[in-house]
Order: sequence, then C-alpha cells, then structure tokens
Amino acid sequence: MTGMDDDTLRRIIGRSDPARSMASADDHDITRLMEEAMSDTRSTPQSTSGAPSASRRPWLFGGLGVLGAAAAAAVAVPLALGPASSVTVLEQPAAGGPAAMCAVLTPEFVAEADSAFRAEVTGIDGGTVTLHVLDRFAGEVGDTIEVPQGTSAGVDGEAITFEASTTYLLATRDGMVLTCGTSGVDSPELDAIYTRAFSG
Amino acid sequence: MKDGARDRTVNDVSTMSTDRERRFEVIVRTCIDPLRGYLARRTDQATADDVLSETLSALWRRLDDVPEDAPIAWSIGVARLQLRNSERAARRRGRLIARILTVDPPSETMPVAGTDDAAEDVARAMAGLREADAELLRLWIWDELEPRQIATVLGITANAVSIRLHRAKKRFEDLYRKDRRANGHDQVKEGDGR
Repeated sequence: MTGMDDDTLRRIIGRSDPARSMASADDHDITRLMEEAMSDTRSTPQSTSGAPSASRRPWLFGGLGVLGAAAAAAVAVPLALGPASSVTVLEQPAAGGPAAMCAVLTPEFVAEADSAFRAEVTGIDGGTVTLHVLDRFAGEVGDTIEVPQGTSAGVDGEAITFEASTTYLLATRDGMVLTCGTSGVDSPELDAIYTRAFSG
Repeated sequence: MKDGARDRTVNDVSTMSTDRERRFEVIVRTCIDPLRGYLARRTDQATADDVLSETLSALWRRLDDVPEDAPIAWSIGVARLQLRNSERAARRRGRLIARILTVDPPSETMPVAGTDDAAEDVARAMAGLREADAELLRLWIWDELEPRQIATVLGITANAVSIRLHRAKKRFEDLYRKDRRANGHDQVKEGDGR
C-alpha cells in the first residue's frame, strides 16, 4: 500500500474543516474586541477566575451555526495565563492526620482541580511560604503564590510543609491546596499523573 | 516636580501606552482569525465568543510575554487552556447541556463541513483515532500549524510533535482506507477530498 503524501492528507482532512468557510473578522469586530480586552484588564487586574463569564459577543462567530466540540489535547505548557506579576493567595487544609480518608490519586481526580501548576519555593517567612510559578497545567494563577506553611509531619491530608528551594506540583480547589498526595514535591510519578490529567 | 518634568513623565507614559496598544493591535490582527477558527472547530458559538474574549484579555495582560516569532501558536496555546478551564468549570457546575457537546470522547462529536461519503469517512477515521492523535492532525491541517508551532501550543518539543504526527498520519490513513474499503468506496486517489 502506498502511503498518502502530506498534500493528499491535507486535502482529505481539510475539506472536513468546520471553519473552512469562516469569514475573517472585520475591523469593527477587531476594534471592539481590543477595547474590551484592554478595559477588562484595567478594571479587573487581579482577576483569577478560570471560567469565562456569560456570553457577550454572540455576533462574532455568527453564521457558523452550532458546532460540536472537541476538547483539545493537552499537556503541561508554560504559558502565562495569570495576571501579570500578581500574587495568588491560597490556603491549606486545617484538618488531616490519621483520621483523614485519602483516596487513591488518579489523573481523573487531579483533572477536576481549579488550578494545577508547578512552582518553586522562593521564600519561607514565618508562617507564609512564597512560591514562583514555573508551569501552568490548568487554571489562572499569578506568577507568585503565597500559602501558609504546614507545621505537621505530613500525615495523610495534613497541610504540606514546604521546603526552601524545592519544586512542587500543586493542585487547588476553591482556593485550597489539595493534599492527600494530590500536591507534593515534583517527581516523575506525580508529573506523570498531572500530565495525564490534562492530556485531554 | 517641575511642570516640565511632569509633562515629560506624562508624555513618556502616554507614549509607552500608545506603543503597547499598537503592539497589541498588531498581535490581535495577526492572531484573531487563527484563534476564531481554532475555537469554532472545537466548541459552540457562545463558548467560543467567551473564550476568545478571555484569551485576548490574557494576551493584553501578558503582552510582554508574547513571543515575537510565534504569536499565533502562543495565543492558541492560551486559548486552549482557557477552553479547558471553561469546559472544566461547566462540568463541575453541572450545567453541561446538550448544545455543548464537550463530553468525552470529543472526537465522536467532531463536526464536519462536508456531507458526502468522503467527509463521513474522514469523520469516522478521526473518531477512531486516539484523541491526542486526532488533535495533532486538526492542529496541523485545520489550524495550519507547523510542528514547531504545535510544539508551542502543546508545550512539548518539536521533535516529539514530528514523531507523534508521523504516527497519527499513519493511523489515520490505515483507518480511512479500511473504512473506505468496508463501505465499498473507491480507493484513495490523488484528487480525493478536493
């Protein structure tokens, strides 16, 4: 069997492109979008919401009709989604310890986190740990993270006790660092789970 | 501060702002249609509008981080994460409704432009691929990104993209040919799909 060349593949798959006949955005659309983007940022520079707000520009994709969706395949990508130079303040669970029930860590569980990122500890000042975000897997977090230092020995479910100059993989929900092994020191094993969690 | 010094400061700030806005406009004009196409291919109209807005806001906030030589790939990478955020939030809120067909596996709901046999064969072959393989082909063909640009979008190396893309092409071809034969369609010809 003779393999298809790239041009043939492009023709075959390309003709099924649902946006093939999409018209270009006109100047009016572009101007409106730019103004909205700039005004959004200026009015809410510290926004960390990961969920887009209610639909505001139904005109922009008009004419395409309702299209089905496909979640994009994804792995960790060091893109900066967070507000520039902003600080995201997180909390750690107060509970934990031997009574905590920790489920087996799975990519599916990690995938439901609000945010997931890799960050390095840059300072520990009293009870506050400061981390610098290196990669973002999901969600919007600032470049800098502040989180209370744990004081325990790290028994199941307890707050993480961060160590200086160490890199961690952290997942959060509702502003709380997920523990029970969901967040921890960066390792090939945990990295593999995070990668699978956000690989589409 | 003397008035003259203050005026210079005001003028400097004004010039900086103008330069920043000018660069933003260049990036938006470069990236807007690739972004709209990327989103239109992967989600419904309302979500596409919202994610585009969020993406442009992120580009404005992080204008200094947008690479000069890869603004399209970088911005699609941002849109991709914003779309995932949107989908995750929708799932968790329990407001996933039928018009937003983002439940797994997404490839089964992939829309196609054509309605003839060849287009249906393409849709079936794409649906038979692993989602990661199908997405590579979509990024390469539909979004017209080169491997190095896909690498930027996905956060992996260009070499890894090339290897995976080669594999995805082969898998697609195998499925497509098998499906065409099973349905009694002609063999793939050079002009097929034109």
